[in-house]
Amino acid sequence: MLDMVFIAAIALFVLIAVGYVRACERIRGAKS
Amino acid sequence: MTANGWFQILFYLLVILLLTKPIGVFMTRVFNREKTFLDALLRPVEKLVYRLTGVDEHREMRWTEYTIAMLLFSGVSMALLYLIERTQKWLPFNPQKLPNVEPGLAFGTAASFTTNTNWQSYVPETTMSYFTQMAGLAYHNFVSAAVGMVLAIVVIRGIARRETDKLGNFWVDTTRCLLWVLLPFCLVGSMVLVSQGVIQNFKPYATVELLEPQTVQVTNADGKSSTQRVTQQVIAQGPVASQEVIKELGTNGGGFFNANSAHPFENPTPLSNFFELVLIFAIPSGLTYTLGRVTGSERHGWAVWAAMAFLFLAAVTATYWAEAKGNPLLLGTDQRAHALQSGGNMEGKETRFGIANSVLFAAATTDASCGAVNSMHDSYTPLGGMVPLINIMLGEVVFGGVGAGLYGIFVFIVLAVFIAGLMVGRTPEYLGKKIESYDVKMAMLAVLILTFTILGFSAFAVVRPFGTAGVSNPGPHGLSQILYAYVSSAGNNGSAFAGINANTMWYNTSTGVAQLLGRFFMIIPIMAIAGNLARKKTVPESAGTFPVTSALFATLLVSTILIVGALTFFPALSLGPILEHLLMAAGKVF
Repeated sequence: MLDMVFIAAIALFVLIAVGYVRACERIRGAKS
Repeated sequence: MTANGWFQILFYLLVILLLTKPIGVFMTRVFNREKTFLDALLRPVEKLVYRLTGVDEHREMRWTEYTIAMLLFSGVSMALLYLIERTQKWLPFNPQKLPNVEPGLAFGTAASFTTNTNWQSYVPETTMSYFTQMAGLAYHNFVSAAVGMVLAIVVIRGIARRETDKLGNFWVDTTRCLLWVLLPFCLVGSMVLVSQGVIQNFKPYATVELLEPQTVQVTNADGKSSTQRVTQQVIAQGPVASQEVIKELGTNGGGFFNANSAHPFENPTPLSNFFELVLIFAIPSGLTYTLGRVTGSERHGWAVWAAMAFLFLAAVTATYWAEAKGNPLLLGTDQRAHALQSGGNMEGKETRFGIANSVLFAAATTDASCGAVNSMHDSYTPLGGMVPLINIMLGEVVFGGVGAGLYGIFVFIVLAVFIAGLMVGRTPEYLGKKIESYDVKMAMLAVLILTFTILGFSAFAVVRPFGTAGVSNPGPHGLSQILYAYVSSAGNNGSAFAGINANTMWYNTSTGVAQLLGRFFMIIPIMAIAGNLARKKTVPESAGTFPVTSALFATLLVSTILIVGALTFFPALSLGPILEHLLMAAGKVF
């Protein structure tokens, strides 16, 4: 059970980080 | 402090200076895909890797695609390491029949090695099988170092390129970094270490009879104590040399043994100690030259190097002074250095390394994001122990981790140039690129994520029982232990104030999250700046351009690093090591 939680946590972190990449790019787009 | 000690410290810096240009030129050639003496051997291997993986080596990526590729690669690698740890009992190369690593520790360790931190809250020789050490941990030692280096190269390309959104190919850069730089250096380096006595084998642990059997007090399961006669000692073995060299060269820091580079099988001689020190700074120092060469301003690369060297010498001097002075409460004890003793505060230090080589290692390992240790920082005097803490708090930009040091100091360069622009009322420029509000916003996001992670987790841990449970000393020293754990984690250093027991569910998971935030949430805004700079036109230098090749620039850069670090962390330091120092002067120790 804990294994699934930790594997899901890793996947979730990657997803959030990809979202952060998109957000940083969007801020630049909004500026121009 | 002794003349001999200073000679060794300055000789070390001289060797690093001499290595900077050749290593920097070599890395420039590797990442620019220019000819090198290894091409005949490695180019066919590289082409085979691309054919097997379906990578088009000529297709370049935008910063977003490059960063997402890096994130997916790191995520999959981290999950793989987690699974290896959780199944090591059934995997090969486990002569000690070690059980599977428990989930919390497996998560923390997977995060730690994926982020180049190598924080170890476990005893490696009794926790990790040879397979886990080699296929799991050593694999990450290579690839996490390669990831840091290629990101630094992307930042350099972002500065150097004009009017493009293409910054290279993550898979190609990482493959070339591994094949041309890390693997060859490590092959030669491991031979050097083996020649000094570092072991490399797959033997089960050896059991030997003690020459002097000991009688020790042990606490039984029922809480009662009894005496026990100890006549044997187990001596751990393993493939150490191959892991030791990348531990320092990749500024990873995770030891094969719990004692890390204080263990005689990891670091047996003064020469191996010096060699390991050189490995720590070799690539980060070389990258400053690569920065100058690729951007067409070698003097700028040297100005950055000079700023780093100044901060490094300041750190070594402060630690050496504090440790050589010794403990003022040991009244009537001879603590001077002379032919019969090292002098100073030798608690937690190897007599064979003495004060100078211990503080040199402590400064280098925390200036870089290495985290390997040959002495225990927890046993330093309060001010001596504060210096490694400060080194990491400053962002480990003093040469820094492989790649991480360069992209870390890039943030401070952007801020320094911005401040210089504010002073004279002009739009700041950096090597022909205008620094605009978006770049400064991203730089501040990179700075703030470290602050938020370190201070947030530390503050929470000191007011919760599960946070203070692992602390071995009360008072300000205990705060230093907790602070050091999160500073080391968020800074991706991995060294520890060894007094804290961090092998708990709280510390394994919270330090793991701190490591992930400190690594990837710092990288993303920096990559955004690199992508933004690459799109810009180059503006010609004018009379109003702030020169980034001068001593004035180096001074401003050092000041920016110190001011940002001091303003952020001084309150926490004042409650930890500074208060401990003042209380020690008043006769109270912890």
